[in-house]
Amino acid sequence: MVQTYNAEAAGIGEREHLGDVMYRWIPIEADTDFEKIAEGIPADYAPTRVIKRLKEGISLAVRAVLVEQEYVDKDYRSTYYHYYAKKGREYRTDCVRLHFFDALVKFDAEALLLSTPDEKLDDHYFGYMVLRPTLHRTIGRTVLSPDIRRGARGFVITARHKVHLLGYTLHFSGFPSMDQHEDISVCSHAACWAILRHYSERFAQHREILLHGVTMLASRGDPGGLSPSDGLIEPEAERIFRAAGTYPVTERKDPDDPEPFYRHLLAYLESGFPLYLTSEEYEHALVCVGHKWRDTATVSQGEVGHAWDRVESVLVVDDHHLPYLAVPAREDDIGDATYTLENIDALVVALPEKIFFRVDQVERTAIAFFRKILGREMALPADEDLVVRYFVTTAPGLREYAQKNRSAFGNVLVNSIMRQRMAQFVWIVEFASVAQWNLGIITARAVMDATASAADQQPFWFAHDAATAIFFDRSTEQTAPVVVALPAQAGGTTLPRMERNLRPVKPSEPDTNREVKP
Amino acid sequence: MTDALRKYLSRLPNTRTLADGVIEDYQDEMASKVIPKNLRGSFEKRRIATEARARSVQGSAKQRDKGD
Repeated sequence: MVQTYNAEAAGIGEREHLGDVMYRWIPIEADTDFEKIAEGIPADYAPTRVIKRLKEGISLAVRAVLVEQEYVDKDYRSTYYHYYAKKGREYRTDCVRLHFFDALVKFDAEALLLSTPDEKLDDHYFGYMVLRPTLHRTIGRTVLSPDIRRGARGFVITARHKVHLLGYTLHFSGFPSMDQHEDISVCSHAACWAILRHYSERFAQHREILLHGVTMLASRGDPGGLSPSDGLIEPEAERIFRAAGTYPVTERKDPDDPEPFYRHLLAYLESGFPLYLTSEEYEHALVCVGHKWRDTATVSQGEVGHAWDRVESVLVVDDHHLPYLAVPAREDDIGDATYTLENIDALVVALPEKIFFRVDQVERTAIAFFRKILGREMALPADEDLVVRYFVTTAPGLREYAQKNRSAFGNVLVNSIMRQRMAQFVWIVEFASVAQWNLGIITARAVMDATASAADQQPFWFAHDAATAIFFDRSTEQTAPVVVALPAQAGGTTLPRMERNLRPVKPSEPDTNREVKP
Repeated sequence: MTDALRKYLSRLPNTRTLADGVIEDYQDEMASKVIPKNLRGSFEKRRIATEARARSVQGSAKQRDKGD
């Protein structure tokens, strides 16, 4: 029998109140239906505050919530064992987990079965939110699909997450988030944790570090006691990332010349590296995980344009909000928001080891390369009509992209790329005219060696447009680069902008502009 | 460049080497560029790191709830 939750049908009747029901199915037809989540959830989990957030930030693509009680959450337990168990007040050891589904999922409360017409439960699952019994700031480990976040648009960094529920193994993509505890962890710990949890899910070489473990990495001694509540300075966040096996880089914004900071921020973001951002004004830390291109028709540019000029807003994981909060890039676009990216002062990016060629070197090398080498062989936009974009990807990722876009690359270029020796990471530099940018296409693309050093004379693997490719011999600088005329393709060739490391947000509900203020 | 790529390119009909002087022109352009502030060596980086320690504490006990 397929039905929505019914206590009698579940055999519970009057014997037990709702708080004794371990799995409770709540159909959602209007925002007010989220209020039913509170029924039977003890005050320790502060359900009222959580529901307020859900009503504000979750779209009605969510049509049912499954409330799972007595859930054992590893991140909460890590703080319980090392902190809450030491306190005079007694804290519960279990958590509540909320699961979000679309309209096609049915729940059989008697048999505890989840079903969909297409039998692909993964396609109808939007993620989960853990509630901790900490009285306030109770939203614990949460991974939600960006597709259900009101106000989220554009592209976002995600990883594939696995969830065990009622004997089912569910998969979906999202980015981790949680509230700060305000004592054992604050916003900076939550931001570090979110980045490291993303890494452990996305990259096999990174181990999972629980929240208390993250706080312990901040300094050499035991940073327990009151230390976590004092927050982190950037070098401590850097230390956490380094101890977790990454190679962090910190960059502070120059107030007199902020544009390079924003360009670099976008380059890292488009490379798929979530960014730890700090604001002195707000004494706050958050994670930048995505961006939205702006309406290009309104953009004016100076001498050489950068993709940054085309960014309207960024998506952040800010522990005062649900994840994927849209934050305007510029003060001019602040609207109802209370902060913008202009309030950010520094970034820390946890890079892999083998990126030795710095982002600012890429920037200055790319323009000279465009003018002096590509300009001799290819028909390129003038400087004032040029938009430059650069980001990191992997060599296997580039090969996969070439293979999947064989019609744009052509057989000769695909064959050459498959034979080209490259280091694990490459910098991709794309050049487009303003008109091409608006169409999502480019004029030319250069592939640079991310392991090159600053003194490297020719840090390029190859470059190409639709008609020509130039290959550089990085085994020696004595050999002149080889220029190859690419065969014309039937119907002509257009080169699409390479959107590889982030995935588009696919909102399931029109934007209703009911976003809370950041 | 791998031998496999070198051989593959040599079999293609329309290949040539980049014209003389192009690389040198590019290298001259690079040599003329001013090195940005953040590439001025370890002293500058140390100064920036020290400044960062002195100026910025995120999420202190004074943390205010901005959102709700």
